[in-house]
Amino acid sequence: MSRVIKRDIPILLLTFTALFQAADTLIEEPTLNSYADSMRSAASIIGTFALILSVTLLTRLHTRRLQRRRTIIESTVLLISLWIPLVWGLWQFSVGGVSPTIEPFVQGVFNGIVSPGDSTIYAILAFFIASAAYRAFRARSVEATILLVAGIIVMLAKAPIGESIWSGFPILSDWILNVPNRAGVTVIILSAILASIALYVRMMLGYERGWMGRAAE
Amino acid sequence: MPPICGEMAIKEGYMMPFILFISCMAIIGFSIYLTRKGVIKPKIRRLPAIDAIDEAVGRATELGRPVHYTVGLGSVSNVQVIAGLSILSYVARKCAEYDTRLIVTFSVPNVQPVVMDLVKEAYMAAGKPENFKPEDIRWLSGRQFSFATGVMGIIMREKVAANLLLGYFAAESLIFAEAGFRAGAIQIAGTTNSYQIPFFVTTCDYTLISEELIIAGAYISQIPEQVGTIFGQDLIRLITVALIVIGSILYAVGFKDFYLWLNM
Repeated sequence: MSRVIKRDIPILLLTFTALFQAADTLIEEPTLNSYADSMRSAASIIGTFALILSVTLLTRLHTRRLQRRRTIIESTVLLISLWIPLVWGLWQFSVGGVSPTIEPFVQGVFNGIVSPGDSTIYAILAFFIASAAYRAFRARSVEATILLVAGIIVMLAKAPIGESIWSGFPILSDWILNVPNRAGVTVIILSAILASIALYVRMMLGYERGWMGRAAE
Repeated sequence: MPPICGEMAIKEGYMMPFILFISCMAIIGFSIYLTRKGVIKPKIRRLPAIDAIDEAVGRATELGRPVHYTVGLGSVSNVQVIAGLSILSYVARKCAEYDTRLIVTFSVPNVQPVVMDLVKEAYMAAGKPENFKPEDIRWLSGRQFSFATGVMGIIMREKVAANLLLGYFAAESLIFAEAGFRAGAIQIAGTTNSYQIPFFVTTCDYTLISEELIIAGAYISQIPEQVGTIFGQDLIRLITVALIVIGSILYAVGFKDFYLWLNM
């Protein structure tokens, strides 16, 4: 019984859902298309419940840390940031009917704290790219040398000075991006699609079981 | 398109994808059948990145520092995350056997119950369920850069000895890999996102490129039927390449019917 519940039923559900969604993509049939749409909505609703579990576990983790007097400041900030906007947003919604997307306090937290924080972290990428590029552009092998040469040509073509040095840089850069680069990217995409199909077959046959929290047999 | 049955018809422009879908399923199914019967015995070439997982966990054990594993931004329905979870199962088992702490992070909450079960099962299989720590399975944030900040913080604070980035990644990939590099961790990464692969190649010790990530679960298991699906996948690739070459030649000489047939 345990095997049926833990293994067979999830695999049956997966197979049915996967084939149903594939049929929805390929076949025009109003009833089938409408049921497939409802199925996708149901999946996103079920997924939302996982958020409750995650928030509960995160709260428990940081509450324990506070009890053990570890990372007091960080855990306090996290719990306040997590719960105050959540409770306030829900309160405003249930009492005043104000949606959290327009509620001033919740919006203030997002616009004043979260968005600038996101931008700051994104900006750090510039320094990380420079550091990674330095390591990548050391011509230690034939491949690294090709990368170095291709990188310099594309950079010079994108910078105004490149065209002043030699008018052929933009043409050469376009060729690098549109021919060898595109060929490589196409191979990566094609390989990934074919491997995905094989993965879904393995999942439907029950060989691949990581998606249901079980190790392979 | 003419109806198949009642109002049912193949969508306009989807005839060839329909034929390819059925053909792919049939070829992979037939490959599994042949492998099971022992008619073919396919071998997978070595994947150094997967072979290095043991080395990474071993190094973390020697140094007494944790292993960090992330499946990135994707949800549990994302193919890269599914592939990442298959590898996680193996990594968790190794960590459990060596008594090495494993920290798993992710961005989408629906990954949490799956990861929790997977890691717990690995510890139980290793006979050490008491070593499983639910607080090391961490959802950090649904927002990309808040998640990136959280992961970067964990890598630096916990001084992880091994940083495994296997799943779906976007712009935050370099943040994770650079943080791991600065922490002195051995790094193994894998994604199918062609924009992020160069970042991983330049900053990580080992990289799984595109399909290597997706087949890693089959590579680890070495179950003949699983390897059979990879044989089928390679067969489809050969057919696809042949169609591309034939199509290109025919189009170049002015015979466009073949091209139109492929776009049916």
